[in-house]
Amino acid sequence: MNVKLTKANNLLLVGLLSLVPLLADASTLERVRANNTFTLGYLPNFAPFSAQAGDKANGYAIDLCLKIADKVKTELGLSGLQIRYQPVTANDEMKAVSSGQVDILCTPTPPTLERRKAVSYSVPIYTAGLSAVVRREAPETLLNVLNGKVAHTGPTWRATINHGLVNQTFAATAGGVTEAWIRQQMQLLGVVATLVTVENTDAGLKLVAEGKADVFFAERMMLTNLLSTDHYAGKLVLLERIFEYAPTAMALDRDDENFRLLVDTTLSEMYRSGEIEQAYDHYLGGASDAARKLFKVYAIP
Amino acid sequence: MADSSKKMSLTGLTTLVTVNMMGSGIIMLPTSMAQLGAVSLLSWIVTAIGSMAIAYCFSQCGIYCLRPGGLSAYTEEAHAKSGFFVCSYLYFLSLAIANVAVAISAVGYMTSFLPWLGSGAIPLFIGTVGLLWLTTVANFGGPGITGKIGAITVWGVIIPVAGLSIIGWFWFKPDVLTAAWNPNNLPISEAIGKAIPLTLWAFLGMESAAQASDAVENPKRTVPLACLLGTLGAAVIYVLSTTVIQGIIPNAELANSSAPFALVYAHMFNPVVGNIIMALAVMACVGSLLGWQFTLAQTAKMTADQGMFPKLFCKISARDAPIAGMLVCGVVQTLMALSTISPNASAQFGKLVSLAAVTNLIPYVTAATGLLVMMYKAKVSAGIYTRNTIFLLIGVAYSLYALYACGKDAVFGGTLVLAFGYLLYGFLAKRFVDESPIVQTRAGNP
Repeated sequence: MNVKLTKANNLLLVGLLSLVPLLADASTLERVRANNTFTLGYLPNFAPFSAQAGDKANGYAIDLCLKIADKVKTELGLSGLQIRYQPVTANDEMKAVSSGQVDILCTPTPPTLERRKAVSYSVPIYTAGLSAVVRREAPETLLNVLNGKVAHTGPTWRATINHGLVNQTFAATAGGVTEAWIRQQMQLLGVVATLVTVENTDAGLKLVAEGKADVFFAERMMLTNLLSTDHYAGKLVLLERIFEYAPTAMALDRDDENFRLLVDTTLSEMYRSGEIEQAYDHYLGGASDAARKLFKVYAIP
Repeated sequence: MADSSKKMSLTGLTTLVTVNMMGSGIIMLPTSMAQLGAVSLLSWIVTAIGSMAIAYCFSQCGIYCLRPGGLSAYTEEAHAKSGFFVCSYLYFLSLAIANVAVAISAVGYMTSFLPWLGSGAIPLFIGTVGLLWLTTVANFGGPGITGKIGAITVWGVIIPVAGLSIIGWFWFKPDVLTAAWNPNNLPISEAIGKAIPLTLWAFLGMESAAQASDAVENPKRTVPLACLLGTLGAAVIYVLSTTVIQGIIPNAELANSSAPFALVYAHMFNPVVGNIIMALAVMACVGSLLGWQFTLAQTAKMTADQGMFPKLFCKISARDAPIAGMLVCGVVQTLMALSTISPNASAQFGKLVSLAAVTNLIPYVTAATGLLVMMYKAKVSAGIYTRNTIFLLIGVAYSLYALYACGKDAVFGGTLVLAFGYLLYGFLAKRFVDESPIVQTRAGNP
């Protein structure tokens, strides 16, 4: 009696469980077919990767996403597929993906284990480099520290100005990998520093330009982009040094291997055909030798 | 006799030596040490012993050599007139540069009270020049007044630093110190190796007792005692305060503090007390600058008395103050302070400051070695000779290590400056030809 009941229960459970994915949401491709719309999520202020352009968006990541949309169109045979641009914020970007509000997050993010609990990722589309911006007249001790050298060389005696340990204000974008990294590094860099966080790259540059912060840490390409267009250009300099590298990728639904395969196929083909390199030339000022080597690593054979 | 009231007492001179040594260096020391962890405290064993050995040599020199001239006079015993000049010249350069740097640091510490000073290069320059002249003019009153002002500003060290060494133990938690032992998990030998440079040069300044020998009561007794007691006092306070603070404030917080003494007092009492402590520390820093400006002027005066610096440096006022020389020093320092205006010049000035440590250390070697001749002349017993020679070897070894550790750039610059000093002396040397006719006769008649 007991045994029978358990068996029946088990069967019921298995039946219910198999329904769960369907109930939660249909797979991405099913959803796209049903709505005849492919929704691209992006951060609107993330040039040169994704930037608002009227009611659409453009940028390196958007170009790649549009290639993926083409692939979806041919795979599903939907010649009239609509592309919808859905801006998201840094706070809700992962939720937008996991809830199905967007089909893919074009703006690249580093796949952290924490994020992987909620979403899955494509192959990397860009290797982010953490760099820093300082004012042109930044003191040598600060530059030494940022370039990984001891703040002060030579004797430390009563006349050593503030012992080379000047109180600095470091700025980073809130919530990013950057912030955690800096907190961990400050002790090792041998400086006394206060860390402040800012909303976006622009705000960080403004702080440094106004002298309210001494260093702003952010992604190198975004800094380069803003510095080349911005009126701060004369006041600020970007350090040559790249502190950390992090492959970044597009976030997509966690339980959808079919869609992920489609995305990775598209991107791998683009890596091999040289289309990614063209996009690099267009948006990111060309691919370095190191970046080109990584293209081969990232493309799935 | 009436003269002696204008002069400095033993207490005054001991205070001057201690404040000179600790004044500006102590303020950030707990932070730099905490960055390596409490293991850095072990470096005091090496540096305190080495420094005490040098202080002991200088105090012995002070007993045997009663001529005015401080380190330069000690040097002359073994290294003749050119030694006297080169020692004075190097030491004078060292102080002239270092004092500007101390003023810049002091302005840096003042910015927490007067934020305007930190608002740009021009306010920093104005603050630095203001402090330099304030401490120059305050010395116009003569050595007696300098000693009296020093006796007030010394409380800026005594209350925060020496006070902490005593009352701090009530807040001391051994487990906080244990946790702070080696936060970077470095091998112990490497950690000590990295820590020694933090404390290696912390005792520079012990010689200021000898430099003031012209301006103190009973120099034969006062100078040696002040040198020894001042250095010992500084060593005790350094060790106790940097130990106790690491057992009160958790390492991570201390290692990232720009005002560690204010932090520890804010922790023990409240932030208001912390601010008062910071103000006292700044006062001590300014007080030490006053002492150093005094020592600078004294060094120039003693050298001018020997006919080796321009006569203007030895013109003294009714109150024993070499005012004209002080004015010249002030002008030279104002020019150096101009470097704060441009970042490039600041970087160059930073190199000069490192060079100044080298030109401070070379006189240590030349002066301490003079003791060998002094002991020979005084016909000391074999026991004393052996004892003093052992201390001398330890002291000179320590000075050489401190020189070596200054690094290539600083020693390179220092050597050029030293060689240039011999050119200058070449022009002066003729003044001393007549003083030794016997030597000349001998040289002329083989």
